[in-house]
Amino acid sequence: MNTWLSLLGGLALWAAHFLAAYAIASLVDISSYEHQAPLTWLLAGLTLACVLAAVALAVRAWRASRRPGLGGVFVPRLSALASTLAAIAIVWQSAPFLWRH
Amino acid sequence: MNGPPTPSETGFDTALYERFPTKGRRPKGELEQLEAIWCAPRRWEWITVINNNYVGVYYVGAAMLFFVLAGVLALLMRTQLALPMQGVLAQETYNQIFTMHGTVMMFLFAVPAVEALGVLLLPQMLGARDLPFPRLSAYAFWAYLIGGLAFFCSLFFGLAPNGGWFMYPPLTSTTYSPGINADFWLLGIGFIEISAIAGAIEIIVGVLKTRAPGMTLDKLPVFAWAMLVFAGMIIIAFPSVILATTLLELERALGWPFFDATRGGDPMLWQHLFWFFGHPEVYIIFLPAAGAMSTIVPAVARTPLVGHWLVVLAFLATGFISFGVWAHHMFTTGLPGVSVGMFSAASMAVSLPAGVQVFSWIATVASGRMKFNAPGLFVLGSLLIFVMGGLTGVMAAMVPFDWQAHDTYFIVAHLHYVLIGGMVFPLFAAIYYWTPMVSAHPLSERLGRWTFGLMFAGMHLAFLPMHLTGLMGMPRRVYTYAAGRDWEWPNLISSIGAFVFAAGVLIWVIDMIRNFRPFGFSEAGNVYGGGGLEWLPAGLYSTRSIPVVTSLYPLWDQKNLARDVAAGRYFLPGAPTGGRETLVTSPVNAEPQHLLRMPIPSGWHVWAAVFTAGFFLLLTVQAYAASVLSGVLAIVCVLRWCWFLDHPLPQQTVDVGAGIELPTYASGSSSTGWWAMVVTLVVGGMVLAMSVFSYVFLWSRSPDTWRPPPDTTSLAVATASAIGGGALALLARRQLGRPWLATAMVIAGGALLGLAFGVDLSSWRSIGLSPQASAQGAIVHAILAWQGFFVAVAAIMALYVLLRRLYGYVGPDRPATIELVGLFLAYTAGQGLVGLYVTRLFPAGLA
Repeated sequence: MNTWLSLLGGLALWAAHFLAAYAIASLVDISSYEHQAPLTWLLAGLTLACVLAAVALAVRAWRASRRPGLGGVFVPRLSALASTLAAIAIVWQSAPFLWRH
Repeated sequence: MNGPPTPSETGFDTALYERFPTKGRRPKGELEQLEAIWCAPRRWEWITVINNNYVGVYYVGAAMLFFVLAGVLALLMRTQLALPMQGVLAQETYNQIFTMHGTVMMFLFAVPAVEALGVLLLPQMLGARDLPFPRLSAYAFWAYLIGGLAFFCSLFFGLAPNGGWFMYPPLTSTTYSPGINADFWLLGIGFIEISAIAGAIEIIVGVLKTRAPGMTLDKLPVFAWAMLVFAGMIIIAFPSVILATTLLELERALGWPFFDATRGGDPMLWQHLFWFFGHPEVYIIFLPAAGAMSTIVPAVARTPLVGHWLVVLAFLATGFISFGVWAHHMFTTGLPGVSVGMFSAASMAVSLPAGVQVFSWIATVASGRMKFNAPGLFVLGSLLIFVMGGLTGVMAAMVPFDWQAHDTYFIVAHLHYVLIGGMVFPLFAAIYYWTPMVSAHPLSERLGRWTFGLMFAGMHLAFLPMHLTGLMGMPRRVYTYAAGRDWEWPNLISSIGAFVFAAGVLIWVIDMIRNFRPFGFSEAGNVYGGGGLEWLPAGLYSTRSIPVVTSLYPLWDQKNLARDVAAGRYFLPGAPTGGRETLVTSPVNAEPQHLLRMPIPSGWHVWAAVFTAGFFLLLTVQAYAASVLSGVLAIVCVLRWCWFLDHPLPQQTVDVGAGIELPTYASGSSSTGWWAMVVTLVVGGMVLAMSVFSYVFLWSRSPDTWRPPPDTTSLAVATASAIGGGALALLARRQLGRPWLATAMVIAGGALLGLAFGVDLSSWRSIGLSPQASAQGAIVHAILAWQGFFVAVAAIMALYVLLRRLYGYVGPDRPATIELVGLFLAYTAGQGLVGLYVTRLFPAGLA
């Protein structure tokens, strides 16, 4: 199970962030003006947390590739790159929202 | 990506692999026994056959039949549109034909075709005798074929759906679509959803659990990776369309207003649910095709795939990111600006993994010595067409451009470039490439070049001008147009192109008739020099023995592999239990875990498929009693088929080669049944998640009209019952030493779940919440109905356990049935609790 969590963890973070961003964006749409700023900060904070978590996963996976566990070096290297990609994608998809507000 | 040896996943000593290939001759009669066990069908057994060598070919054949049928519909449409103001087709007929063209292509051709390719190729590619649930594959095929043909025939009676392949309400509501045409779509898609999910379960468990020993994740063929991600995406995406079609049918049949704005519903909900399935659907059909491309390109270029692991990463990234783009089909619906920006960003991002794959293929072609044979030509054609379609996709991801191009022929051009380049051409490459694996003759190279040339030229002739007709303002789905808008020439050229394309397909059909000879005793073999296990010498039992894999391209890198495999010098050279069997291995390192006894052909899965299709089709024509009878018979057939499962063999362990002993029975996470149940429950969980989304969405549309929930007493009773029911069912596994107690616990667990459901339902009824009166009533009852369905299945399972106990089939020597039923009941309890608390606490809890 740890192998699969490691492999898919970064991308799962991206998915979780995406859903949260979608929910927050929808809330912004139906909330009054004074509530919009806190929601924007909430998304900014969430984005930062998810990016940091994805980077941490990437670093952890890269280190693990030196001491291969299940899945040899293939899985940790793939995990490292997937988590890095997820971190970039999280920033990318939040940019329109954060830029606008 | 090779490195030091990895630790064991299961405790299996991988040093035992050194015993292979074994020395000496195999016992006399061993091969003959294998051949007798996996013998060819005779007479009516051609229908009940379950071997993937047959079912896979049937499946691909049926998918191609639907491709041709939907193609004929396209020709009719292009004939009508060739000139302005034509009267070839009446407006209503045209509406039915374009709806059926899209629906048949997407649901009856594209998804089944790639799933069929998986069923046909994966066992040989993974080194398995067959996929773990061959009857499930056969059931999925027959349900699809029978239901699909009946669905298609609705055209001949003027009863075909006519609301477009994405069936937007309110156009498809009873107000604007009276009659049963729309119901044919909504219920007709039902059996295809079942079939697709059944196939996906089979593929996930097959790829994870039936790989040849040593086939660790880094040696997993790229096609298998693609199929694994594809099947995972089906499990996540299809529940959304299951829910959407169910809700719309409930609205049409019973008046529950999910999409009726006058009673608090919102037609936008349909678009969200449909496109949460519909956009990933594009990648669902693209990924297996990309997997096939990534397998064929190295073979025709005669060099390993450049960036294999980057391609795998691209598959995984596509599998995730494609779920973040559903709303890009809804840019013109007035979505909030911030949401639009987010979805636009994700739509651009999803092109990156596709780009990685394309560059990998180009680099492989460039670094090898490309052969321009038929598969090679289709591969190159696919690359060009798909890149063009991808670029217009990035254009459409830009919101201002999409506002202009939306619902015009530009989009028609874009989607055909993507789907033909991303799926149809790779599929034809795959057909040409893998035909020698299943046929006595390969397809003709000369005819293949003609097929490619005509399809390639016809494709561009047909769809390139459509970009212009779209930009000139021609809307899609119009049955005719007036002269004088400069649309005449592009339309005429498109129509000529469609017929040129069809001529290419016709030549392929002729080629198939002339050369395709499956089910014989010999195959043409590895004509194109592929490096995968599927090219090992094989019979109906797949390979004579199951090799130890040490390379991504075993046939290229492992010397004498084919000879040693054919001589039975690897795992499972015979049939140690005397029946059909395959090795089950661990999901990461593919270490042998146990021997799986495979089923033999019987008619139950065919009857189950007939009655499943009958259930949905009879429901469509409002023959309710006959439909219910058909549904009951389908359940009986499935139970009868399950009855043969979970029977321990007399031999607890057997020698699977080189003196290695493996158990013949397994339960828990090492068993294939456990994995299948977990995947099935993920499907249920996804439907629940989408239901919760629908609940919150509908609340957000008219929050002021929602009424408070019932009293908390019923909440407490339902909670206690659900927790008690789930816990009893889970704990029954520990009481197998006392079979009657275990059985009683399962039955009591089911009863408590029924009580929880009944209490919840009656409490909502007691406050007068009607499903017809408001969107809240409708969605609360829909969530209850989903739970009610699970409770009904749980009740059937509990009775099934009781029946097995009466026959003496419940005991500590066979824990699998009780374990899986317990898992299902525990999930049902959890699902009930989620539904219960969401509907009680939201939005009331916010106040």
